[in-house]
Amino acid sequence: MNFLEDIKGGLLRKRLWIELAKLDLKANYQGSALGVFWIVLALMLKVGMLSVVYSMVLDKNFGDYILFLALGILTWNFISSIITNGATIFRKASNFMQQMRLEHSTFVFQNVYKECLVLLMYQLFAIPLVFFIKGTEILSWMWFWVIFGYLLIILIAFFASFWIGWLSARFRDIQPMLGSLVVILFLITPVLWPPPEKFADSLYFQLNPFFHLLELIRAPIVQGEVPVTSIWVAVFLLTLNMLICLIFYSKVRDRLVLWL
Amino acid sequence: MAQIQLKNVTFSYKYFPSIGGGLFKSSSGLKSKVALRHIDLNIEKGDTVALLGTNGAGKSTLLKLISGVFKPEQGVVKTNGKIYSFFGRNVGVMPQLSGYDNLKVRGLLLNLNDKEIAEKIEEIVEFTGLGEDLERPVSTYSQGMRARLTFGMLMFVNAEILLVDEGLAAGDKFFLAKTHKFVNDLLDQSKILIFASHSNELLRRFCKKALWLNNGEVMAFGSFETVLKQYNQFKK
Repeated sequence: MNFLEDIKGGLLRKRLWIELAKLDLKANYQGSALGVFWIVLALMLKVGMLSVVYSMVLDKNFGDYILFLALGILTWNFISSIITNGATIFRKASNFMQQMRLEHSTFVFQNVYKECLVLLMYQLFAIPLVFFIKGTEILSWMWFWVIFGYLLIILIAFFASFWIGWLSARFRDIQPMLGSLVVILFLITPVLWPPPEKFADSLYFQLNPFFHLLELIRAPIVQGEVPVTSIWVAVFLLTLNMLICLIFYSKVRDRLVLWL
Repeated sequence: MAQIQLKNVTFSYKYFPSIGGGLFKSSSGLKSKVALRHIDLNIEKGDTVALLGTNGAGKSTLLKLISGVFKPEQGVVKTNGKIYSFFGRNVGVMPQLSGYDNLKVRGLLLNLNDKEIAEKIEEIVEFTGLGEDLERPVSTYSQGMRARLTFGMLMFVNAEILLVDEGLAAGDKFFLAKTHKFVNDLLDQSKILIFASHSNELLRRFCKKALWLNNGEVMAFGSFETVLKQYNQFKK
């Protein structure tokens, strides 16, 4: 079986990973009164509180800042969850993988689908907020670029999940390392704060791939611009992640189950 | 026609020996142990085979090699027929989910359609007598209820080759008699059963042949009572 056949086999198990993703999501909120609505509520509380404080700290207009922050945080939450949960994808699936021969992609699909459901729920807050702040002027072709941006981010997440999962199963230090790395990346990437104008083109920001992933969503809505450079960076990241999977799949295909 | 053939199969499993280690030490941290050595085996349709051997003899590894979960380092494993594997009493059971969800996931894992899953679950509810308990999280089940649910999962079987590792010990005497009848009905002449258990009573109920493994090597393969006698003498 090669990598593409694995993905094809995983797609055929669509009903399984959709069910597992839904159960996984529900299990996180088992017994709570609000259930999965906590996903939206937690985002609203986070964005609301941080906007009040940071709009003053950064001396920004509250309306502009809350939109910048909301889009940044919800996109960052998706990216960071993919990285941290990606580390445990295969170890969590150990029960299944030790039972029968299953495609690696089954569990990658499960995790990415679960995070996409969360991302969709975030839109319950984000879309009304965009219309509230921007009004109907936002109804333009810019939405095409936002959807295209999300598509690129999801595809990158899909392929990155494979190698993050493989690496974390093989080297047990990777998972705690990624946990710390995500916190550091959050602080050095412009999620809470926009890059200062005079440094916007500096290599510090331009070489940070996460800055570009955030720009895929933020630039069309907040600045009304097509983030051409960020799109090219995302295409490069997608190609790179696909190549990593294609090269390493045959090496880890039969070994992964031994590392779980 | 169901058939299993192993030719000169050798396999080593890998494991992390402790919670210690580090990124640069991990290569040495991952240990390797030979689990099976030069195994030759031929199992034909209608064979019901008990796996005998002490802990670490290679029984579970052999089942995982036949199921395709593991690939042999050396040699060839050939199987003919659809395989249903069931390894360990709690493997595949997710305690935070309800019994019903666990059964549904099992059906989906076997690529059954919604109608087939619903019919099977109805059958399992009737057979196991779990009734409304299936709505509760499995973490709240007693040992006996868990055993019944586990057996219920086994009832999804739709294959010619049935591989079971410690899964048929299902609760009280009354239920055990029911499971015995169910498995016997299931194993018509076209099916193969390979069953690993430490309970000779259970093995005797379901198996006509036995394979004795010791330190990853085949010590004997033949009729159940003959091989069991050899195994018991060896243990003394």
